[in-house]
Amino acid sequence: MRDFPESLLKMNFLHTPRLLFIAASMLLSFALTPYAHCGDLHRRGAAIYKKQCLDCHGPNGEAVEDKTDDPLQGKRDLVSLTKRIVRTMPEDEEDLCVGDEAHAVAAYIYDAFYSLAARARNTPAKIENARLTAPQYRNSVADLVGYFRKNYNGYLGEERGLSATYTGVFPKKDPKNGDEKKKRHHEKGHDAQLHFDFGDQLPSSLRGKKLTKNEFDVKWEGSIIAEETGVYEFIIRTRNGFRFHINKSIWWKEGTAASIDGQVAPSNEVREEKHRIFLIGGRAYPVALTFFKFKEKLASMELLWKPPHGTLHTIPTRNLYRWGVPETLIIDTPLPADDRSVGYERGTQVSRAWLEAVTKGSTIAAHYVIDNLDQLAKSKAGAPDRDKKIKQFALDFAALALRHPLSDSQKKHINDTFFGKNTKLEQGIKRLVIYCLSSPRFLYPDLPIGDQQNPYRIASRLALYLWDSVADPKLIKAAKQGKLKTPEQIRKLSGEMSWHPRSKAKMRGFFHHWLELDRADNIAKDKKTFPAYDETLQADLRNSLFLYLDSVVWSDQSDYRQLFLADYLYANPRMAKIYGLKAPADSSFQRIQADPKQRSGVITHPYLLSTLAYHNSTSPIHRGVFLTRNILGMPLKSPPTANKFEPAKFDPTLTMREKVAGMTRSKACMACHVSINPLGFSLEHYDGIGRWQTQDQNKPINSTSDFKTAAGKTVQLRGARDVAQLAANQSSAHRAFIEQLFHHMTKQPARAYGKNTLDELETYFSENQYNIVYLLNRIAVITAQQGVKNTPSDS
Amino acid sequence: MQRRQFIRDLGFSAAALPFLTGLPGLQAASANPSGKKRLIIMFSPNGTIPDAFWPKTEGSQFELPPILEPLKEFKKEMLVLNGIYNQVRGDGDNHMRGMSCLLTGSHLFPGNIQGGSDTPAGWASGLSIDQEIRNHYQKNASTKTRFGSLEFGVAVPNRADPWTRMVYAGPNKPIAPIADPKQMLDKLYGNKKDAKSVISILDPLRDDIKRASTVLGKEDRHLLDEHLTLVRQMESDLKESTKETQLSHPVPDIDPDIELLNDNTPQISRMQIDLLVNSMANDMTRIATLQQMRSVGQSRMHWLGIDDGHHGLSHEPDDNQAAKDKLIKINRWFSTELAYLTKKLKDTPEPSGSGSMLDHTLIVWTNELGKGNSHTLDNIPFVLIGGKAHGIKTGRYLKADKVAHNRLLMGISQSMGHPLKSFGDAKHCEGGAFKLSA
Repeated sequence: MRDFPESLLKMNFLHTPRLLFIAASMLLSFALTPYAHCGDLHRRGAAIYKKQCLDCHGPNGEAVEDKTDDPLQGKRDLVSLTKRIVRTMPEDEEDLCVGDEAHAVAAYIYDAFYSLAARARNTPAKIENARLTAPQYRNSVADLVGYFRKNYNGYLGEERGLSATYTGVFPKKDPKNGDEKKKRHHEKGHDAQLHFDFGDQLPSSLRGKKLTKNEFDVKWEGSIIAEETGVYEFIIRTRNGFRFHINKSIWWKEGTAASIDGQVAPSNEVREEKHRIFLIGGRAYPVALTFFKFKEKLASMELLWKPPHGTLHTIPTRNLYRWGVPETLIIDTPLPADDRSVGYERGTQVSRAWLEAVTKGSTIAAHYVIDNLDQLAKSKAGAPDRDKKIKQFALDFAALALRHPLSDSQKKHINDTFFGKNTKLEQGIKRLVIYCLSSPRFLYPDLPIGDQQNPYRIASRLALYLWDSVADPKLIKAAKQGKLKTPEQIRKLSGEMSWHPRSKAKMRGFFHHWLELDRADNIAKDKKTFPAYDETLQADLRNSLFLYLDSVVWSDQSDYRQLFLADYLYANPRMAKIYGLKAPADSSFQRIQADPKQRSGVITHPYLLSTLAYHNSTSPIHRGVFLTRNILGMPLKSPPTANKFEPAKFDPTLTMREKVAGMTRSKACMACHVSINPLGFSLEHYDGIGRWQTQDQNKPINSTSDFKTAAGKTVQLRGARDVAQLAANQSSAHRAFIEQLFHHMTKQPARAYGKNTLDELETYFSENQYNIVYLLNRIAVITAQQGVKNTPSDS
Repeated sequence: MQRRQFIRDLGFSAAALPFLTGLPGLQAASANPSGKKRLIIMFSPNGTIPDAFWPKTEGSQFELPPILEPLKEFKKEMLVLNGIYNQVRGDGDNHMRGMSCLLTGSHLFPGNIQGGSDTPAGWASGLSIDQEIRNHYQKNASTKTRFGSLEFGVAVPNRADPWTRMVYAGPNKPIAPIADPKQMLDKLYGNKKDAKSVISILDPLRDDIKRASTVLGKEDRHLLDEHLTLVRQMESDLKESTKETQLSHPVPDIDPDIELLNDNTPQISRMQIDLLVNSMANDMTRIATLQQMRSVGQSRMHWLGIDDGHHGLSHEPDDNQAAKDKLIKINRWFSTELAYLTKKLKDTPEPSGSGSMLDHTLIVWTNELGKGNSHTLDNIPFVLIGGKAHGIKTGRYLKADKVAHNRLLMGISQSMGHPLKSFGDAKHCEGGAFKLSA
């Protein structure tokens, strides 16, 4: 992890497969102008192809019978393809096509039909049958079981912190009567955080009540919100005894095993006990902590965690809620990464590892269901109607998992298959759960079995696209009552669904994708250049970014433009100090007004800027490429030649801008760098960790350049805010945002829903003041009504 | 959670197969078939009734008082050992020290757990003898097994304190016994049972995939075709992994879906014993503990016609004959369970070796107190059964002279092939390992 910056330097970053994938997706998006910046090269390449290659390879590389066997398609990158042409083509006349000619023809072949992107572009878009992606699988299994719990997904309320019950004991009246039952006193309240050093005193709420100082106990309970998916480490730091429960609904029941049973305090010294657990992000989990002090001199208690991408800290108030929620089934089996070759994750590959993982997931779920059977089936051990209730649960579960109400014959089939005479009830349930969760109807959520327009299919797609999950009882009910037929009805339900925590979690995933935050996992900064940058700051910056993004999206206006134009940041004191911001009033994250010249939305956020930089300097090329593609939605090709940018090899007195300009001045480079450089240079006021800087190599920063917009207009960019204005107002930027959101939500190409889908969405977006939640909703409505086409088998 | 974790840890992949087929224990068995030695320690709580437990006559001509009477069949394989004292003092009441020092021989750390008397205490300051031997066994390829040790519990409540834990992996590191036979079955054979469940649904699943692919166009069908191929591969792997031939003893045919209720204790006890013997027959472990209930346990043994809580009864004075009769009944029940365990081992031929499994297994039955109503740690009940391979001289009643129980723990370790110079608190080890052989 730490060695990333070095390897970044060694590698020509523009040729990493990852960036090629992005290039592919962008070419997809701008199919009408795929070679905007490379016209000449391709024209030359096409001419050479026609003359030297077409006879054998065919007009579109499809191969000519008896002359070549395989179509011209493959996985080589452009450089490797060029080399191969130089070496082997044309057959028996290998010297004919070398040097610039080979380069031109390779570039043409690559972009016209050879590359994955080209092939995708040349294939007519259609809604593809796909399996659940990893997040979809985890969410679906969790909810499928969870919906059978009472109050699942119930409203959490707004009251943060944890509910607390403090209990003290009156001194015994008669010391001789040792067996007298202790008289206790309870105080109810709540605590914003669990971070207490009681010393040798009683907690404040128990003082002044003539209680003994020797002993007291506290019970904290409520819920905890996990923002990210991943492994969380919970840490209890205490001098005393405790029991800690995470994700356990009925923790108080005698015999329930605690997540940490720390009743025994081996000494009165402070100790730490840990519990690691995988949690699915965007969800609330029940949490309970019972604490007791008995005769020990001192008492203290602190509840901390180390969330994924985070550092160890006291659990913040914003993650704690006073109300409890039911527990969630978590499939924590590692799932193989989903295919991202077209620029977004989708379930278009199955593999041995995947099948094993989902099979394992199904057995984990089966055990969980059996272990919690009476709760889920709302039955009671020994009750005469237990069998009946459990069998009804089985049918309900199957209907939900298989995404459609069961017909009478299906019910009978299930009863006969899983609940035969000699099968034990539990065994039948176990097998049924494994069967349902292995079924193609569950794993391939949009299989065109039956009428794709029927309301249950629509419900299923809405839940999948907005929540990455399965339809909840409310949606099923709407489908049953015929309330999911008209677009207006669908719009209404989808509008409500957009505000669900599951939808918020999915939106977080989108930002991860849009801002390419995968890079953040590998950040390591040079300690000498940036001594302030450590894991703690990195975690702070990540929190700051998401607090900001969430505040924009989930505000009433939900205005896309505020993603670029906001002149404030969320910061805690630690971060405020490093970035020269006004310090917030307390230790939590607060919205801090910044100088509008210095901060302008997400593109000036220090977290993003840190990811788009070298370990000891800025990187205008990284920043420029990112802004061109992801933010402004302008196409870029992979570079024509492989050049390594090594800042250290330049004259050390040159500024970063001078180095980059010198390196990319050739005509070939400028085909793309004409837009990359001005955008990258406009952010030169932000150093490698996103602090405002005014000088580079003792020379004043020059962040001004001319820039040709997607519409062909030349504008002067003076700095970040000018770029932000472009991003807020330019059509190509809107379109890029819409399309990336579309892909993230549906995992399907937008064109598959009609040639003009993106045009219509763009118009809708501008007509609705660029409201992001409306856009979400609109995409859901369009896509919920169309599914994978039912194509009766031709074999 | 442990169950799920276990399942997670085991895949269905080919990579997981060696885990089943190449168990180190099985290899060890073939390398050194006759020298196998096992240890089972069974615990029952709240002291014994001395005059119904200790024989009167020393040597081989000893009688079997009422509590030992259920073991009469094994009189020749039995060593009743009197005069063993738990001399560990310090923090904690006698129940706590009786329990948490029983197998550790180490004092308790100061702590916050208050007993009925004395100072509060925490966990034991050292590991227990079973874990000491386990660690030694796991270091050596010829004695290493899949689990190293297994900790069985019967009616042990799910709470961690010095009264519920006797096995320690180290200072402050108690190990919780598994008191749910279902959890234990899953730990031992979970992957195999799951594999069978998966296999059972593959027929309808294949049909479903085939049916689904008929509604898809050529390109989309490709994904399902691949899926189907993968399912077929998985099926053959799963079938391979569930072949019974790999186990010398089949998975016990028990119904583990039993509620962990007090009144189900007799069935749970038998299931746990079945699983214990089975796991040893399959050489998944050579060390096991069987913890019946817990110190200060208040089990109400309705199945014996006793409605009072065990611990409450154990406090009754000696002249309360009714209480005494009930306590004898309770302790007889424990020795009946011990007899069931012993018989199972005796009836099972030593896998790939000579004699019975009992010949290669040393069973130790013990208690945290000498006597319930006095809470004494003197004359802790010890009954040793089997252990022919260990060189234990059985068929006798032996009265030791106030021997610290640390020395007995060392003697047990020595008989298992792991001699120790000292174990637990060193001051109680003077004189070395207590001699159990002839």
